[in-house]
Amino acid sequence: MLTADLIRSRTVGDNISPRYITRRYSANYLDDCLKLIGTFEKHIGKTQEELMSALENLEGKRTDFKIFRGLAKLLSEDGEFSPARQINYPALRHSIFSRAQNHYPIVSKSDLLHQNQRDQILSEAAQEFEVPVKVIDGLLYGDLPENQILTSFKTTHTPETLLKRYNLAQAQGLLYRAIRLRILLKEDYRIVFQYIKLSGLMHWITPLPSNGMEIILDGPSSLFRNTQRYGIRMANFLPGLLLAKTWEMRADIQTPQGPKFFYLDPKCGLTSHYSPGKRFDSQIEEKFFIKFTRKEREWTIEREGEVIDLGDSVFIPDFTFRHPDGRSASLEIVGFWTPEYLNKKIGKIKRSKRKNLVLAVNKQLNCSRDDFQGEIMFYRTGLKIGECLEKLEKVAC
Amino acid sequence: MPVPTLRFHEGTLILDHWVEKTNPPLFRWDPRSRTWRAMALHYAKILKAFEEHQISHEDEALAFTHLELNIKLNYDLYDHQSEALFEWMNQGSRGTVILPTGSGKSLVAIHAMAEMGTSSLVVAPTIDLMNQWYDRIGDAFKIDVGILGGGYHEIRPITVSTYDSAYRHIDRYGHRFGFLIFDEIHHLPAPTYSQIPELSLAPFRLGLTATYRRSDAQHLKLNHLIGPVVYEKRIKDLKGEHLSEYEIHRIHIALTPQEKKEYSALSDSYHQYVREKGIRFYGRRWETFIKESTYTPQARRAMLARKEMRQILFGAELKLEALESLLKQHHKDRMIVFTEANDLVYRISRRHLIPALTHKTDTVERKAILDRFRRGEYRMIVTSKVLNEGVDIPDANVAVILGGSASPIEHLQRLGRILRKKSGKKAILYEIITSGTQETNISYRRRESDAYR
Repeated sequence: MLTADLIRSRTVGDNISPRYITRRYSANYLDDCLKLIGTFEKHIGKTQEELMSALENLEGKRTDFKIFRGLAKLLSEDGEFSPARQINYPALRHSIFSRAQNHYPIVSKSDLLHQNQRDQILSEAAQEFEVPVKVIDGLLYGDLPENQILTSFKTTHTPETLLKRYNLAQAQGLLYRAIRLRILLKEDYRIVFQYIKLSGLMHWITPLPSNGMEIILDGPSSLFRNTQRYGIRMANFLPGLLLAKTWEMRADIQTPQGPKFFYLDPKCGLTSHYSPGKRFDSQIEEKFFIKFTRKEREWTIEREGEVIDLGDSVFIPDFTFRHPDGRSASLEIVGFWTPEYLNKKIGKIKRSKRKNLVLAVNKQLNCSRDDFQGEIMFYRTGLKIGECLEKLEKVAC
Repeated sequence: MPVPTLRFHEGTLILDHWVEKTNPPLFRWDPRSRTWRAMALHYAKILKAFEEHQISHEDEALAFTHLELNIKLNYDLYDHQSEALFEWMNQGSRGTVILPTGSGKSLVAIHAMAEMGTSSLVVAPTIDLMNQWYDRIGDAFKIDVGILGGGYHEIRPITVSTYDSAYRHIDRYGHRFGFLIFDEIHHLPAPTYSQIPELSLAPFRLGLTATYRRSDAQHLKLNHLIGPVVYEKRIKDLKGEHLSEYEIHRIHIALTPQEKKEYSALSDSYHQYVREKGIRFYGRRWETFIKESTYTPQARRAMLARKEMRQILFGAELKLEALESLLKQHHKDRMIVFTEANDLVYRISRRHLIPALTHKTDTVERKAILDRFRRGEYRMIVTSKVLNEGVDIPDANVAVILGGSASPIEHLQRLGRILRKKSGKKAILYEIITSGTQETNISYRRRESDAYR
């Protein structure tokens, strides 16, 4: 991600939006990207200061230096720096400075009273640390970042992917100043809520009359004051949202000119670098879904199509079934066997207080009917469609 | 039936098992978590309200502990220090003490910690100041002190931190401390930093500063975050009592012909732009200038010219010569050299083999350098802005300022570095400024600060 000083935005009325590198201009910057990648590669083995001044030269007096530095910043994340020689730098300095105490003042122009003792002190230290006298002067601060050497630079970026990452980073950067996110979501609930959970944001869900839901995201202290404290969490969450297919987002951004809105939807063309995860958790689920959809049925099946709000977290059953007459029911498959997982799952199911929920429990888990509430079926190798439909009919409402 | 129970959640208080029809005092309903929630700031008030209304409750929120703190390294308190401590405790152990730099504010805080006997968090504006609190507290109580900031993340019953790190992490640790101490508290009213006291349960709070009032009047916020001003003494009231006397010498130097030529070329192009656009060095027009420099080439050139002008000023060759003559004159003294820019620090360090301290200096090495300076093993230090605020170099008697910006607060605090009482010692401050340039102006504005009157 980028530092706040490299974020560029545009405000029109109540709306604020990132200044992306648009397709119209991307041709100009593709060339810059190539030059930048080339400059980094050319400076493997050189100091950071040399790299920086090469980048500064490349930048020149152009007014779009923020874009240029942004691209460079993203590339620098792929570089590694370390000191030229592995010596104890603080000890070297101490050796030089403590020798110097007896010879102060160290002057640059010798006169009758003051002889320049600098070279003698340095050569004594060079001897002690077993380094050539020639390099000792340069080594005095060899461990400072600007004097460190670019030892490796391995980027997976092409000019095209770098521009994409830059645009994403601009959108993320605008969110640093966000106090709240509003999201309309119609599908892909699980992946989105997975990244909400990971980001540490709190949610507030309202089902929409048609289909889908509105999710408001902020943090614990947002209840009392507008705060940008959670903006970085929102920025971290954004690539997670981009993994969904249909969504709309509105971020409330605080600016010195008052509150502004940042709207985003899939048309923005931003791409995520987060893992979309697998479509199915297990083969059991996948097989069941394929078997169920192979035939035309009264009940329609939807994968992870419902979000049950538990306040501090959500429960998303594996499958939701809907009947044309308006009834619905859900199915949750309990197949993993670590005790923590099982306890958490049982807790969630209990707290959801759902009547129209069917549980399919792996027989090898050694669970009994009493461990759960509600309708249960056990399975060994695969779920039986007939038994499942029977249970659905029984609990649906 | 479970009783109402308080718990801490990321900088807020949650009240579980509340069954009364009325709202619990100072709480608000949170539909997201479906719980009653309050600001951690109100913790003490909530407990008081519970007591007044005889509401029995469990408290799972507070995680701070009683500490038996004995001051091992005991200095006698000066009158102003014990008065400050007394007034602060008299006002419910909440509020701010205003004392000039170098008057021993930290000793007031250390005694307050011993009196409160609870887990404490000390927050300072810079890593250097934080490190200094670390040394001081460790020495005073002979205990291990925790650090949050500057690459460290170690929470102990007494922990030191920076404003930046405390802001970032307070929602995780706001229940671990019963006592908050803010050094240089005039920084606290920023919208971000003010969340540190808001997201913390600590009933006891102490602010310390030499310059309380802010031109934007934001210090008024401190009343409800920390408490009122409980004690104030100015530099004039204390001078002679325990601060050493000092004298100030201003050395005017000229640019070399070459520098002058470069400078005036840059200055011409810069000032032409400035005049055309009517830019003033305050208010919105300056911001507009900065903004314009990101899209108009003329503004960008003017901005770059200004940057180069400053580089010439701060690095002026004759300034370095003037410094060299001071080094000769005072090579037996304890001297600190201040500069504006880091690269100049390292240039001087290499040229004259003087230890350098900047924000890039590692914590361990920094402590070693300062310790050696205190012991007299090192007699000189060259530094950039790191030592600006309140960082204390007890035995320095000569300070040299090479370049600097116009802030009076900054200057006053720089002065504080050398104002340490040591018998028979007269501190000297040199300011090396370049004539016929913008800097004369800066120095003039500096003089308006209280210390010179």
